[in-house]
Amino acid sequence: MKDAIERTMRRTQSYWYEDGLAEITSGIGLALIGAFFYGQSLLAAHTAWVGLLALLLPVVVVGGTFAMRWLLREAKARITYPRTGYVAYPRKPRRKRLTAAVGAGMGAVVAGFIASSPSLMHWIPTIQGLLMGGLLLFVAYKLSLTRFFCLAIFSVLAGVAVALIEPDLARAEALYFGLVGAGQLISGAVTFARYLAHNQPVAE
Amino acid sequence: MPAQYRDLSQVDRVIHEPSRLVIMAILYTAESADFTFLLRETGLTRGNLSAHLTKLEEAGYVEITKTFRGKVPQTLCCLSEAGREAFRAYREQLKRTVESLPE
Repeated sequence: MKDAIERTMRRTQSYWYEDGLAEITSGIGLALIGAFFYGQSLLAAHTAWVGLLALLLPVVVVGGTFAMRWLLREAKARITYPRTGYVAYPRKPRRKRLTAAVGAGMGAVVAGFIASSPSLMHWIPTIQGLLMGGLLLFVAYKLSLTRFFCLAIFSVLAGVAVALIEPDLARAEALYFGLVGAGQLISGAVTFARYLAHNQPVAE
Repeated sequence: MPAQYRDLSQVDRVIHEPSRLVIMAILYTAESADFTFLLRETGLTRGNLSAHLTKLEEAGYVEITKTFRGKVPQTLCCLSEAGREAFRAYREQLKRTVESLPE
């Protein structure tokens, strides 16, 4: 019975990912970042533009995150909730948010350290692959979602492969984010198609 | 009666019923869930789910709010503080009993 309770609780937690919409929106977001880096690599000769684009990166990331969150909320309200119901999840406690902020800060310090050493810069996609792989692995383990294990492995492999085959950092970043974004988009689209095939809208 | 069985015989019977236990487990994990989600997860009929929710509401464990999602009516359910505490106590009691049983 204890297991049954835990299974029910885990199912409720993993319901957020059941329709694949979270992966689709994060895939779009990552692909957009990839497109941004691709634009940067194309403008490499025009140094003034490159500087401007580098300044725009945080705006793209933060703006993109908000836009994708809005898109996800809207999509769930129109597609998921009428079919399989609405679940609101508790907001993360302050301590957890603080831990996440400290983690992100440490990541930024590591990135800064790597950026200051040209020989290490080459491995940035690998480090990103490991970080994202770790995050996906955590979700996969916590919620018992097999496809997230695959996405985690894909993220690490993409990070290593891109670092090995692409010497130009902007192009490597474009390739890495493009690949990981496409991976999430495909995984989300397949999950979404399956979800739609098995669930019709119901009247409450 | 041995202590571990006495412990089990004193479990909260409002929660112990399997369907209500599923409802409580869902609402313990989520901040709130609507009737459609509970219907799907429990596999109950509308009438049965309503009856179980009423029982939980009467015990003071669940709070039910009728609202609208756009133009569609929505019944939102969430655990009260007493419900959260009762579910925590129930799990503890169950865990203790299961662990005290011989292999």
